[in-house]
Amino acid sequence: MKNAVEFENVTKKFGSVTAVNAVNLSIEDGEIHSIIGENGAGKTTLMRLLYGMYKIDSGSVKVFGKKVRFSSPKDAIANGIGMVHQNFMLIDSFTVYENVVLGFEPKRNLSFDRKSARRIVKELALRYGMNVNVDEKVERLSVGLQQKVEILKLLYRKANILIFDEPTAVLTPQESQLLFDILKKFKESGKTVIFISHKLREVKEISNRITVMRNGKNLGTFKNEEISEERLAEMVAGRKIPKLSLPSVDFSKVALKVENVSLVENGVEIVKNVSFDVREGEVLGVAGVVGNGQSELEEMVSGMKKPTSGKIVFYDEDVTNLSVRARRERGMVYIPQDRIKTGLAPLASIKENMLMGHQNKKQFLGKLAFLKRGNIRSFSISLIEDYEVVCKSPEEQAGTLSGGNMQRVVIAREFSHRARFLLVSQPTRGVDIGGIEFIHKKILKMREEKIAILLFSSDLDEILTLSDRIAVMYEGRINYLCTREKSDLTKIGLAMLGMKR
Amino acid sequence: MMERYKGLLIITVSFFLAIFIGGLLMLLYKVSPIDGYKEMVMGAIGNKFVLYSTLDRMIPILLTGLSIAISFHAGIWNIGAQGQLYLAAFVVAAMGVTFHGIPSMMYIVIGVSVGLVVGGIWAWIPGYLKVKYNVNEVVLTIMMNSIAVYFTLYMVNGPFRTTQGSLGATNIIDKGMWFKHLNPLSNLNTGVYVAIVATAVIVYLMVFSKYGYEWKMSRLNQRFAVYGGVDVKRNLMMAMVVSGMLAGLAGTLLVMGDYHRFLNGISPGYSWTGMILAMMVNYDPIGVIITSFIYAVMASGGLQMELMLNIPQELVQIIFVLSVMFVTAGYSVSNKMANRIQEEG
Repeated sequence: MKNAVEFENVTKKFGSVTAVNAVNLSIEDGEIHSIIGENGAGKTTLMRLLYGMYKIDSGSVKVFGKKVRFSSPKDAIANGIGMVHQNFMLIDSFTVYENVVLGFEPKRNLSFDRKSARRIVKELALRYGMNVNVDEKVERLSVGLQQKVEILKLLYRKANILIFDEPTAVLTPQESQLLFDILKKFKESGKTVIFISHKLREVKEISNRITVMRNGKNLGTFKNEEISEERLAEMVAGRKIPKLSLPSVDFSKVALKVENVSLVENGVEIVKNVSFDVREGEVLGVAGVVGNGQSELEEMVSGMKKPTSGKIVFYDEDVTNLSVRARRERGMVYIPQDRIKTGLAPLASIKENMLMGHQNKKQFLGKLAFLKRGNIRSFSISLIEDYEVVCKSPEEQAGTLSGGNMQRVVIAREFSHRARFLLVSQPTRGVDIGGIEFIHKKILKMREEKIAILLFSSDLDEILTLSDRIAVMYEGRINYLCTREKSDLTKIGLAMLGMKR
Repeated sequence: MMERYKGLLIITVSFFLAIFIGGLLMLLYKVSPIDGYKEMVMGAIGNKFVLYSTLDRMIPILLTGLSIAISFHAGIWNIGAQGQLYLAAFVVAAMGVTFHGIPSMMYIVIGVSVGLVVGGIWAWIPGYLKVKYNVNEVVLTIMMNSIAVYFTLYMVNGPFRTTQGSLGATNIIDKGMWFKHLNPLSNLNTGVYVAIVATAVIVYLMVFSKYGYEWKMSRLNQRFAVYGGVDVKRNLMMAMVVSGMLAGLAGTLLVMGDYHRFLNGISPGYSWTGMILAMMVNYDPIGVIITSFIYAVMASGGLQMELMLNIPQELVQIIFVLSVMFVTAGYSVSNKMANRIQEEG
């Protein structure tokens, strides 16, 4: 069979880091080829090399047997290569068809030929079964639909090799399924699909062949039928991953009670009359499609936002209007969903980041508000060791760490408080498989210590692994609340789309 | 720490580059750069007299530089040092020409306190409006500069107009309020001790105390600071008021130590020079101390250079501006490089 893409001994370095290390890889024409690996394994870099976003240090790339050297994505597009990025590159105020043709507009004489642009985009959408209104402005589309616009862009540019960089990270299970159907259609019509992911289940479901990458190296390419999910997981992580179990605990004492909480912002009711409780030693997992009120609920529990009405009670004390600091003093620990915007100051050092929230403790605060620098330093060093944060020194900027290591900094800092309640949101987003296991273990250790835990996550596997009970939010309401034993992916997925059983 | 070294490197390299280009310009005047710089340095620190003048020149720049540094460090943009300086200086002078017969020690303490309070209040107003109503503090402080400068201009041409000749100034203040000169040949006076204490307090606040940490975190990521339980609003107010107090102190020392009156051009842009210095060293108070000294050396040595070698003093400005330009360029290049390296693998 002919090869669509061949990488020969490709190497790429960033400073002292070798992101891609002498990779050989061939992608056959007309297959769905998955590349799997942890964050930082070099998958995305390899694809960006192919797409002309980075320049290759050494080695060569062949596309359909022809040696190529792209200096920008424009060259790659001209050679029939398209890429859907993790972050969409769309103009919100433009309509779907305008976004699709942008940069390659059909012209009549010298002016933009809107009519044929609209017609062409509509036909393309129809041909691949993408149900999207081409006249809608992009800002009004859901994330899933925006992704389709990105895909249409590639098709419009006549791409034959389509690269998808973690496309399902932002989708619900049902939306992911739709995407897979589209990918299969591409394959049937003779296009080549390169699919990047770290979700094993997805890779197993759609791929013809699977390549595993670790530390910038290609560890091998396998036919889908010839490798098991367990073996893949081991290769990705570089070791065996034990399954986590939840020992049963007595859930009788209520730690946190949320009573009829609502939030109105700019005249819109974002959270509608939500009530639930979290008990000692219990993990309550909250799932939902992004934008259904989970973030706001999370911020109200943490104290970053005040509810419009309703009450939040923590061990029989009304904490609804207490400040963040007062809540922290009562043992409410918070790992926010967005570590870069909320959980860290990326420009500050690791040490400074680890001190936050601890700075008023006697251990660090001397007379006249002097900070005890020595204690702060040894504290940060011990956290770096305990939580295996990979860094050069505590003085290193937190923003230079990988996503997983940043999250370890946040978790180390928060878990070193004496906690009575843990509010944790998206704890493993953008974290590699080894890191996920580490963080999950830490959370379950807190559970064993009889700490009440409220978990927000858009990763359903995570919710199902960790939670004793599962709630789903839809349009500001809790739409589903059930024990884990009685829940499964289908039920939760349907609830996320607003369907009640 | 790494950041600090990087900053230090950029600043040093930029400074020497600017000095080098300054040297080339000296060649245009057919003067050997070595002689030129030697004259400049000798003219600034060559003997006790010139050293004292240089230190005297340094004080207002140092204080306004620290004033800017503390507010910018906290992420609240006090562009109003000029107005705070003017108003404090004027109020102190107005007091000094109005009240007489207060014992000197007491009068000095009162004078300095009033200067601190006036500067502090003039910064508190925009600070409060910012924190409470989220009014843009940059616009506010710039407008309040105009109010203060034109108000004092009116006062020295109206109610407080001097009866002792020259225009655009108040009368000489009560002698009890004067800081004694340390040397009859220069303006350096005992006010320098007040400046030293103020500098020590700022270094403590910014470098060693919890407040410095919380300020920095609020600037780098305000949401993060709120999340960590920092009372960001109170912290911002504190930084703003301390910043205003320092600018006020600069004005107060100029009145009570240097001129013994308020005059219309009391600050020939000290606050702007201070701002550039503070930004150049990334709001590091130690950096402000060093750069304001270097600036004072160049400024007072420039005069000597012109007198002795016929090189225009403006050369000093050129060197200063060049080093600012190189520092800015240096930071943006190094940030770009950092981003490159960071761009995931």
